[in-house]
Amino acid sequence: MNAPRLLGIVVAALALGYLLVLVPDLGGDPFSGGGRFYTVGPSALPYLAGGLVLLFSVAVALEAKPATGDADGSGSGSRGLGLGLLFVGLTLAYALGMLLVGFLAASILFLAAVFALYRPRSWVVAGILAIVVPIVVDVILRELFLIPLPSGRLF
Amino acid sequence: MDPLSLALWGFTTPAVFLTLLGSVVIGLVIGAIPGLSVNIAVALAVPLTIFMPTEQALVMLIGLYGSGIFGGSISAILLNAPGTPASAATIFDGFPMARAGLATKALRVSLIASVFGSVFSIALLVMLAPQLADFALRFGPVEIASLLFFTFLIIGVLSGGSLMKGLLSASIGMALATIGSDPMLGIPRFTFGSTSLMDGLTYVPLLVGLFALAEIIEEATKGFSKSAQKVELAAEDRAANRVTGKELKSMGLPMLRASAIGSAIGILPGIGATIASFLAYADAKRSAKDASCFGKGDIRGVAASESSNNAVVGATFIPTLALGIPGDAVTAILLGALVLQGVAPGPLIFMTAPGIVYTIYVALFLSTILMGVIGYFAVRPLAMTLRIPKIYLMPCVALVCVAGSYVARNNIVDLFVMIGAGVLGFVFNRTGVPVAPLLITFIITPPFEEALRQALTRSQGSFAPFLTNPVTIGLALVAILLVLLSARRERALARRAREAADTPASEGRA
Repeated sequence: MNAPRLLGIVVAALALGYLLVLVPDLGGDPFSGGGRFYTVGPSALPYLAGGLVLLFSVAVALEAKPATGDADGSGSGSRGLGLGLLFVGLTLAYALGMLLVGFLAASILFLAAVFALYRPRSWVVAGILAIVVPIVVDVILRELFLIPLPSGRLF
Repeated sequence: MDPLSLALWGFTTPAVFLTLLGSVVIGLVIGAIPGLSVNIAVALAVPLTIFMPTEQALVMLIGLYGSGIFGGSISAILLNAPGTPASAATIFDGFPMARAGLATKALRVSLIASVFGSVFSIALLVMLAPQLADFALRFGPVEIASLLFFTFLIIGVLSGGSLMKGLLSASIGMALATIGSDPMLGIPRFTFGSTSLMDGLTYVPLLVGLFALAEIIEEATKGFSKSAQKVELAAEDRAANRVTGKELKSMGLPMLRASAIGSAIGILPGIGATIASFLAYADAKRSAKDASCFGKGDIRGVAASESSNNAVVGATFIPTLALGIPGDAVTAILLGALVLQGVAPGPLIFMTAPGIVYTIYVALFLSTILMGVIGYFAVRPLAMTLRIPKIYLMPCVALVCVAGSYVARNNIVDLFVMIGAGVLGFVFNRTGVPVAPLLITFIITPPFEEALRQALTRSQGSFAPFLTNPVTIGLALVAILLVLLSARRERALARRAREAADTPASEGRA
């Protein structure tokens, strides 16, 4: 199955869940007056948006050509997905790590992990960047823009 | 002091002028690096602008926008890889010129054409935007709702190769915009009890994820390029690389036509500079008396492509300022930045905040002049930025993405929104679904819902005003025509692709 068709099917399934489960819940909200409006209420636009997503996702799934050799109909398919997922995982860990060890330490660890996993040409340059860039960003945001970055629960 | 003088006076303050200068330089550098587009530059700058005065914030974003598009031509000409998609058509003649030892000339032609296109579209913006806003002031909720729904259709139809993919992207943008408090009654929708989601999905992490993180994930799938590109301009013949008066004359008409095409494309929401540059290139080739040199290093090809993509810049501000409808992804980002500053774009801006409008005009003009001066003298240093390997650059940009998304509200939820948007943008890029319609629809959905519900409240739930309004009927007819034309074009392209696929197969069998 090619990538656009798969995308169409997944989005259509999500749109169905949105239309059948999430949007009807809005009508039951005690603050919405039970959803009785003489004009369109808060669930009207979600129904319209969900309906349009369902319609066009089905259309995308139907118009996608069957895969012939290339994994995808219009792009680079699943090539390198593992490396991409690895990076997403690292970014997620970085976001969670910020709460635990603070922005500066999490940033240094993030860059160090990325460089270690993706192998730079020069370890010296990578080491300098992993330390200098987080410090510069931290100083600019804290000192220049006075933004309270997370300091972490461990410190 | 009148608003124009006030806006001009604002640029004499060191903070504003230095911000403009810095943003033009950064825009040129980021635009030049393949993989870092002007969208990414502007998206990453938005979190910083939250902490700046409105004038300074606008100057920063506009400086990045204008110069970033020209910056894209540097790598297109020198490396055969456009720094921004808008410079893709520049490759056709720019790269052959570079291979013939005329890279400096190609870059200078590109710069002249970029400045010409920008100035052309700024003049158009100054002339047209107030007129359009004046017309739009007569609009009530029915007309506004119709215009915004028409925008939803048009950006879906015109934004990419596939009609359905464009419309799917726009619909997802509409669905995402329904998260948060309902704009009329304040009833929470899809917040799952989280107070962080009461204001809806925050704009900054969404755009940083869709544009910047998505590109970084794409680079990660390639393992981040480790090689440094080799670019050498010092050895070129200086005399051969001068742009002569005769060459300037030959570029005049193609630049004028391309600027007109770029401006026309820029006014229409959601199309953008990439399509403008291809259309202008095709037009220059078709209208040339001798088109045999096109594709082999013709300066008219470079001039047409670059004039048109820069002409889009000023023109996209026409619907943005006059109607509050962003012309492309970058003006969608700018529009969001204006809202964050407490300024509501739309026809009323010409009366309530004329100083902002003049600041935009002056910032566009001054950034073009600075781009011309810096671009002319700094072509060689700019070319050196292409040597930075992605393995060092991209992880550092990812760090800036995380920091930028966090600082908007100091809320960790925004980081998860950014990562989710990044994955969505990556999936869209891989499947050929355009991202710009999602962002533009995300921005226009709240005013659309408000106008629609106001109109229906006035008519006590009746849709009759929509069916009898001349603006609505006119827009509906244009929308139907565009959908039909787009469907016809898609069918013709599919037929041609089938024929092209069949021909080698049958030849092979024979």
